[in-house]
Amino acid sequence: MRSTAIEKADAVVVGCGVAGGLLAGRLARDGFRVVALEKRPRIGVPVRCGEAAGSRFEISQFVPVDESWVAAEIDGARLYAPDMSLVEKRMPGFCMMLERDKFDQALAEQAKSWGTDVRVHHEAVGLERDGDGVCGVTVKNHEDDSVYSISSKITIGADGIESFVGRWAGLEGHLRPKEVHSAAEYLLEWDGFSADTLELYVGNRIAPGGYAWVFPKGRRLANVGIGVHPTMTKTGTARDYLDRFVNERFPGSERKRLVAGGVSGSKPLRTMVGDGVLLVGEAARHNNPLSGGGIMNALEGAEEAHKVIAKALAKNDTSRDVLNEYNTAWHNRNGRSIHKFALMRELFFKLDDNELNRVVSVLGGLVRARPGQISDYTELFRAAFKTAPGVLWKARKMLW
Amino acid sequence: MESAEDALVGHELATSLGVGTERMKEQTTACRLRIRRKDCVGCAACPAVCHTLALNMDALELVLDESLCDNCSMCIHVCPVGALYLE
Repeated sequence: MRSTAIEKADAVVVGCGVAGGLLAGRLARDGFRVVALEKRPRIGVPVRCGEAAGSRFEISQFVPVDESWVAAEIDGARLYAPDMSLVEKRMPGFCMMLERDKFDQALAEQAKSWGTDVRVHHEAVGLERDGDGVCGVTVKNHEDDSVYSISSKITIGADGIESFVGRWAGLEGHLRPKEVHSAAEYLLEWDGFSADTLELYVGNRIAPGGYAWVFPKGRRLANVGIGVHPTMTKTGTARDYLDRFVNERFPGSERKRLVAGGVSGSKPLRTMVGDGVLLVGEAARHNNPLSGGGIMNALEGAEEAHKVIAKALAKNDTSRDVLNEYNTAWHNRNGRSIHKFALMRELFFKLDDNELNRVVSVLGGLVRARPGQISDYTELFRAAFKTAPGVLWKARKMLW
Repeated sequence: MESAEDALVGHELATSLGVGTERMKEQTTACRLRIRRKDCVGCAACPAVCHTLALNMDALELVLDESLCDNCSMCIHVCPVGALYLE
């Protein structure tokens, strides 16, 4: 059943996750008519995330912190080398563990309170075209299987790693296997997690081309996951590697929930805008390609997008030339460091376990030499790669 | 022996040159991509690497459009839970 009447909106946001939820809300707060589409029946469910985000202060810049979605506050991190030597850094309050489903729902509620029309179980199934530009979306309502169109001045793709909006608009292609990490994670119940410390494990036996993480939500609960490089795995899927890691490291633990997903490890897109269309969040490859983390990047990307879109809508001109300012703003804020992290990711794949042991050992020295918060992780890792014995030749690409 | 990575690079090269895909399709017509429903968690890792848009998430469930799929197997490599296979 297809409805013939065409609805009108200033902006349609496809995907109501972190970036989509924040951006839809901010635009509605400015007085624009905004429709946010979420294809899943419940926002934030199922969770596809490790759930570690920025500090309380950083997140409060975007949404008032509500204890209902704060699972834990983290004061330090440990990085384990393949030989289990470790480097530890204490950084009080540097990161929060979220209940990601409740966090996404809070952003959607904030958007609704500012007037966004949030529609769950409504899926964008195509773009409406006006010549080369985009002038709206075709939507399927999964509640009654009806199909309808929304005409909009701008269409925002916030539809995650598989972004169909970006691909329909010709802004990006599919991810190549070398640009994606395959990840699996359990919410694990076990007595004895370090409640205030993140743990990361690298090594080609534990997680080829990736790492394993333990993100605690108190002493008895933690997100324990593994991301692997799909072309480097030899003995099974990400879940197989995770099962082995959990059996060895946390024997007798109980697996409460399985989360899986792909994580983009690609460089930033050449452009995130077209005529009447813009991408944000993981759809725009905003996440950190080395760590996979993307919550703060998505919030910051949405903030930059909001400034440019609000100006464009006020001028009634959402052409590529006007939206292009967003490319520049994002590049200056985060794009450059994402590019550096992508180069580091390529280097990381080339290191064998002995080299990883040496990098972690050098990293330990650097961290001890720099008390206080680390402001630039790219510089820190770069220094470690440069100084670790025998790694310099492989790291030469990053020195240019 | 050709490594998995070499095979992937070869496939990408062939795809980007616009050759080979048809041949690969012929070679693999005996096999079809299948979804093991009991294992699939709907994580959407596979649609992200699908170069023909044959895989999509319909709200919560993974959907395969067999008419678009060329059995390139990229999705099988990426699936974190081993829910995709060729039959």
